[in-house]
Amino acid sequence: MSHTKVLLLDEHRRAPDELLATLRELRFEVRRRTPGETLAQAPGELGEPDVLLVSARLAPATVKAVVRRLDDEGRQPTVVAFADHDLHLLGGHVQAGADYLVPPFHPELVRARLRDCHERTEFSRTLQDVAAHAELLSYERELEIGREIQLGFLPDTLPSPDDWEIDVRFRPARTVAGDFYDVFELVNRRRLALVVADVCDKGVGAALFMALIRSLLRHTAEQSGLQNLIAADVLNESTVWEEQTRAIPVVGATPLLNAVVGTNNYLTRNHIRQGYFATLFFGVLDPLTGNLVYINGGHNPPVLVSADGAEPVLLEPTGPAVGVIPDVTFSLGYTQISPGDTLFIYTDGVTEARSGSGRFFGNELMLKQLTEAAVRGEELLDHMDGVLNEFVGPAEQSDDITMMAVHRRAS
Amino acid sequence: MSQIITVHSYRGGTGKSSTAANLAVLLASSGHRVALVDTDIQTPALDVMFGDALGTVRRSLSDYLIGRCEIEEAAYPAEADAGHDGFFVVPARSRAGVINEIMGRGYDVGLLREGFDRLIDSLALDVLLLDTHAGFNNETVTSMASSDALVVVTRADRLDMAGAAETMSLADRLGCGRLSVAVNLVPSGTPHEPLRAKVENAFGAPVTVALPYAPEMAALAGERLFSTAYPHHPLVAGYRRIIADVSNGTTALRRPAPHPPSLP
Repeated sequence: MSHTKVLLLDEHRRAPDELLATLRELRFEVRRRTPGETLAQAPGELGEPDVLLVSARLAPATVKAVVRRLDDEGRQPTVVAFADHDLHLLGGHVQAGADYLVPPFHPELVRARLRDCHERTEFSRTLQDVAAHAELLSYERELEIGREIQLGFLPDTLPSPDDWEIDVRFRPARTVAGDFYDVFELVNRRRLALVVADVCDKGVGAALFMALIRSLLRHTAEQSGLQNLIAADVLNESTVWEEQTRAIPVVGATPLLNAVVGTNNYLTRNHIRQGYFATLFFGVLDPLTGNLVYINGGHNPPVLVSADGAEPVLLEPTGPAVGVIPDVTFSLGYTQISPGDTLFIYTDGVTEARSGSGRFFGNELMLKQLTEAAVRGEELLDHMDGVLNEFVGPAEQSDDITMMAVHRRAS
Repeated sequence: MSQIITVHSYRGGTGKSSTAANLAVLLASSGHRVALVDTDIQTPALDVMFGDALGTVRRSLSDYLIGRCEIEEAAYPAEADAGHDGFFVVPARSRAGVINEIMGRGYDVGLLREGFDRLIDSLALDVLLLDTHAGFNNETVTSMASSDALVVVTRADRLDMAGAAETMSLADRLGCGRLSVAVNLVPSGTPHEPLRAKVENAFGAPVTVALPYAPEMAALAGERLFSTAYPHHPLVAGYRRIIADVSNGTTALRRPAPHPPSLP
């Protein structure tokens, strides 16, 4: 500590001469200041003290103010209180966390004492750093665990019925995502459920609600039986089916409606104050005929790209986002995927992808790329992935991106 | 044009299933391709009435609804009853266990309509005749809603006619197409006009026919179909009146598909 810098804090220049002489002998760089001077000094003029030597006559609160001031400038010197005669004054400083120095102020003793104090401070600081780092590591580990668990909420494999190719690209913006997709069998394997959803917000909160919403949707759809839905509604002259000329729902419509309406009711009843909701597209596909019945809950309209080069068809919303409005009605949409057609379902991470210059990828460019691409199925997703990467460039991915391509092979 | 005809009654014991079975056999005997479906899962009847043709039932409507088979596999040919190979019976259930499963788990109601359509297509049917459970349950309502014509079987008593308004209102909402009200089990000697007036007043619709109570039917004890056993009985003439009333005019024998699907 030959070049130790010392800031000596004293009110009336009453520091004992013996101490001052010793500091000189030890060749310490000493600045003497009153607390008032220290606090009044412009930033950067306090030097970079290793040791803050304070007179025990100063109030511990005054010392604390100076320490805080130094801390603001990024300095955390070892604080040592000294006393000449009034040793009892040291008590308050020691209680406040300072170390202490008492006569005789013999050079070797002072050097040894200050070295001890310094090492002790360093040690406790290192300990704090290690603890903070450990906390960060544990946080990252938890997040990693969260990511792995969340992957378990996505299907391991996608069903591949005869004549169909179903492929997905899923790219979270952060470790955990609010987007999700799902494909599963319904109605004794006669139908396929296709889900792509986007929970508002990103990160851990969205991920928790993703797990909830995905489970509610899938469980309700899979467990949905007859439930006297049709009979009750028809006999009560309910309006649920009035959009259909015939009062019978098509196969898959009952689990579909039960899942979406049930999830909406659950969220609005139990979680409305948390403000989380999801936009989603939930379709039930008959792989034999290509018939699709769906609910689009406030989601970006999926694009039905025709094999014969006709204008792509957008499957517009049939209801609001799920989890916003209690007891809202969701309508059913119907379409058919013909041989050679591809249904492209995606989240807003695609259209709202931003280039380095801040431009959005946008609907028009997406539609253009989808219709002009000569490829289908997995290759179409590769193509869209490539186009998006090129568009975004080195800019950071700002939102989760999910794309699902449901392609019916040309017969 | 194929046609779906549902036979329904508000209460049980009106002779609904007998009527459905006889209508089906008469339609088939006159050359139409017909399938008769028993949608009464709770209290099936057709598996007994057509026991000779069905043998041991392994596939049924219930098995189809819970995913154990396809609907075509549940259609049993009943040539002997029609005199040609275009008559089929779909029993309601195969064995007692199925009912627990179907009542406990339920099924997707859309499968009923889809199954009806598939039977019509794959068996190249002219007429699909649906026998129903009394009252209004899912199978019954779905059958009614799928129909082009509805045959309402009723007795001329207060209990049966208590449901007339409800039946008619539902039929109207579901859009059942042609409607035929058949008063069944009319005791001999009942004055015709007061009976007709009473029933028409309750239903708000004309009565197609008053079918006489036939002791011969009771004597058959379900062993044979009435129209086969007594083809010239007035009751059979009454059945023919119903057919004439609800038929959409299909008279020509419909050609089966060039490659009819293989059946069990």
